[in-house]
Amino acid sequence: MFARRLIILYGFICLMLVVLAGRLFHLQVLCADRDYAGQARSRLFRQEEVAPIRGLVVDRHGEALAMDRPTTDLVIHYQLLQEPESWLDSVHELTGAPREHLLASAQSTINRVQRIRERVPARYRWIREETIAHPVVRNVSLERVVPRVEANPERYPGIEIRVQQSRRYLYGTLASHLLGFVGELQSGETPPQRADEIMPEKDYQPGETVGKGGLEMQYDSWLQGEPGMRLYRINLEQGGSEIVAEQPAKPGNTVWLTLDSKTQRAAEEALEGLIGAVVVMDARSGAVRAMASSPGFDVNELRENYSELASDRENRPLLNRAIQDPVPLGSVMKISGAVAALEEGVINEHTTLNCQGVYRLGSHEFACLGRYAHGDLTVKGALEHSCNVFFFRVARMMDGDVMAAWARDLGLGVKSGIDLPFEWSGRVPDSTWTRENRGRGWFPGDSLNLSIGQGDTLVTPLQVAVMMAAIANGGYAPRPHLLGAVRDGEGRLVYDGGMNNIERRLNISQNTLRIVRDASRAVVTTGTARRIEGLKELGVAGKTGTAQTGRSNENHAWFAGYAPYDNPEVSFAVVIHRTSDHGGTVSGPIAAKTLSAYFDVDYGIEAARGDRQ
Amino acid sequence: MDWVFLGTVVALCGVGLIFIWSAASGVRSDGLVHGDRTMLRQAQWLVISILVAGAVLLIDYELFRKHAYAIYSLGLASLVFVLVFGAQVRGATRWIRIAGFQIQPSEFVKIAVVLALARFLMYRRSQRTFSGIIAPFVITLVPVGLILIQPDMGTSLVFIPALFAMLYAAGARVRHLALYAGAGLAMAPVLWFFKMNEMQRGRILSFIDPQKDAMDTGFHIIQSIIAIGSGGVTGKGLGSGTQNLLNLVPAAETDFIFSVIAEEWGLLGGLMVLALFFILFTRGIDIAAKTREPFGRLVVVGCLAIIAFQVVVNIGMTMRLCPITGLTLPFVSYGGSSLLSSSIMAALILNVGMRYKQVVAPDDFGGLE
Repeated sequence: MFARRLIILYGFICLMLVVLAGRLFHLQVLCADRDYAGQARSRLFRQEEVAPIRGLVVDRHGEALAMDRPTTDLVIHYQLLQEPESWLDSVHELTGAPREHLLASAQSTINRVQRIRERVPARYRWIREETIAHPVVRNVSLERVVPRVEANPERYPGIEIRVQQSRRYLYGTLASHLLGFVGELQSGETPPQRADEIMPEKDYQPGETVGKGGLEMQYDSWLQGEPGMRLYRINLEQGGSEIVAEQPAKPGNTVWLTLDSKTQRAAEEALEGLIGAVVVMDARSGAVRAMASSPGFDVNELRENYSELASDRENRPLLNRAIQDPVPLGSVMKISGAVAALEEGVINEHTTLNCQGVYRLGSHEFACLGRYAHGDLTVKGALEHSCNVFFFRVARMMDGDVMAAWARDLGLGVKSGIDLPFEWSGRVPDSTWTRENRGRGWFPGDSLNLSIGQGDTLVTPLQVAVMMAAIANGGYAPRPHLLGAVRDGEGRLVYDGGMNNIERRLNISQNTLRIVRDASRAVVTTGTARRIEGLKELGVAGKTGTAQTGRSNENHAWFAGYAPYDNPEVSFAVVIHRTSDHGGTVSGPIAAKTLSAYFDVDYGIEAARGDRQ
Repeated sequence: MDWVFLGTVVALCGVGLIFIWSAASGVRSDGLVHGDRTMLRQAQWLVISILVAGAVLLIDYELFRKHAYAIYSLGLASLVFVLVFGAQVRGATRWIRIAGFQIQPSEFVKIAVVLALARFLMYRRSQRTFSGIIAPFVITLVPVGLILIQPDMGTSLVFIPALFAMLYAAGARVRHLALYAGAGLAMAPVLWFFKMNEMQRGRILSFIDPQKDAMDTGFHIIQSIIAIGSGGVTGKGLGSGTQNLLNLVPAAETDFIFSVIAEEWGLLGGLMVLALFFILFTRGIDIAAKTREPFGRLVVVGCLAIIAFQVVVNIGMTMRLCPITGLTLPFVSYGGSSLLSSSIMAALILNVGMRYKQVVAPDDFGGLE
């Protein structure tokens, strides 16, 4: 019986061997259609993507504002980052960077990688970030640092020089709020959306460099080039690899802005030390020539300083005050009130109303500045001298909703449609608004507030510039835009921004416009802005405004208008926040400085500094 | 002395050396690497194995019978020693260092258990009963348990077929064995949820669907199949296996050595290896059949069962017929302990074959002929 059992065991083993042989035959002979040989061969080839160079952003004259530049960074392998003793001194000596900065840089990289590690499932034994070298000092000197590291690698173990394309903003603080910046798309983050159907469609992958915020994001798919491809064949004999085929990367398109660097620079300089914004816009086309917001920041250092900048609640340097910080408009609102009144027919050019400096509503008193009694005024005079009482009386003659509607028509309290992300609309209150937000209907006091741009009225400088443009250009509200044109790497036109100029024709009579225009000019020649140097010479027409905030020392000082008054080219708006000065005093000179840069004339104007915050 | 058997073993060791050299060579990130050093290490172990096996051959296997239980106890002790003092490698405590060499005691415990079981079963009849099987199970499962603690699931698996084969050969009733086997399978879900760790479960899952985790656990299987499949009938030539060269088959010189052989020597090479093992088993069974002495018979059966199980599972896993287990291919795979223990088992088989013993006891195997 043993023998029999033995044979059964033997048979069992042989059966197994036959199965194995059969499977072997199956894989190697019968499965030829699976092309295992082909699969094996394909693992001999390796494909690599070649990153494209991102397109430039240039101003209207072609001056580059943002571009990709090769930078030499000093990189250290991740494992070594965690042992600073081994490299801290030598890197400090090489680059001169302070030790604390080096340690902080290393630490932030370690934190970032650890956060990634936490989110990756445990069965992945290693993540890429832990196996590569990370930059510790960017942009090291080509003459001093690079040769030493390359020549003596033993002295600097784990330290390397890496050249890569990185985005440089050539004038760090210029138009920093407009340009935006670039960064890696995180998984789960929303990629840039196409601003227009005409833009190319792009399929975004996490880890790619994309534009974030501002124009970099707005026009990202134009700025992105197309990656190229390199096919390597692995050389078995020599153990290296050779390039077999190459498809070059296509660089991104160049985005031409309407911005004028000279004007922008002048505006930013004039705003230094203050909190506020300047907008200069072509009154006919809506092309934005300058948009400055203060305080600003250096885009090149945004990454390092981000948390600092973001948490500065006092100054909020990351805020673009031209479109994101609506504030009460003050007397500049009277322009809108005048248009409304004239068009509604409640007054005409010659209607006079009397101002005794004070207006009584119930138990409240509302006054002109300093309770100054202006006497009898026409609308022109009321604008010239910015009489509150005149406009109170006019406002009471109209329906609040009607006045609000005219204001919105002129562009106030609505989004202008500028091609920048995150524009705020501000608000012009009307009865619907008070019902929803104050739980009551429209009160007469609301009309008064509305007429002088106080109370719940919140407006951005860009909206004011649109309104002034409408006055200047004969009654249509242009759509502000920063995009001028898009050209490809060879200079060929891809898109002409001029095609997309939408404007809204307003229903305002030429007569009304003439009256308001004359009044605006008078403001500068004989009115509230007469003392500001250069405005007359520059041909400016406009309106001053001082919006009170409730704190006596903190007004919003406005000056807005257009120039030259006889053949308007640009409209503008300047607002300074939290100043104890008046619109004329602090904002006027800023406008003068900016406009003289635009018109390329020099009146030797010094912008007033105003109160520093 | 069964020269054919010996020749087969030598041939397999030779094939092993050749392909260990090939498997350890290849293109690495810093250029071409030659497998000489690895092959030499295996050759060193081969020398040691020859010496030890020679010693085993010279001793009459009666001696092993006399000291079977002592050897078994030593085996258990070594397992405990490993758990307490062993070096941790990749989450498992399997090795001890002795004089610069790494030894895996579980490899040798296999032999100890075979010896102990053979000794236990040699004159009994009780294995014909249901309850008589319990003791052999205990003898086997205690070391299995210790090995599982390490944890080393692959090696512990080997004991089961050895136990069943020896019980079967010693006369246990098939239905009893089936019941025990059934009970074991019923325990499988318990094992799955409570005893298996992530990696072990991952191996089973990858076996079922390698694509699911193609970059991690499934990677081995996919790469192995591509390597084997692309070998064709004649293979790509020694040293030219592209998958192997590009280091695309992990653990090529140890667990997956058969993939390398099948890739570089094709179907012919693979069949050659299978044929060598076939001859080995045939000669081994022949020895067992010709032996009248019960201890000897059982030892041969046990050792053959172990070797056969490893061969089938190892080659099977390279071709996706079984899940990955970590079992090596006897005589061929790189690994000192594996080579040594396989050699000892071969020597025991030869030993039994060499010494023809007169059986005078009337009751061997409880009356079985």
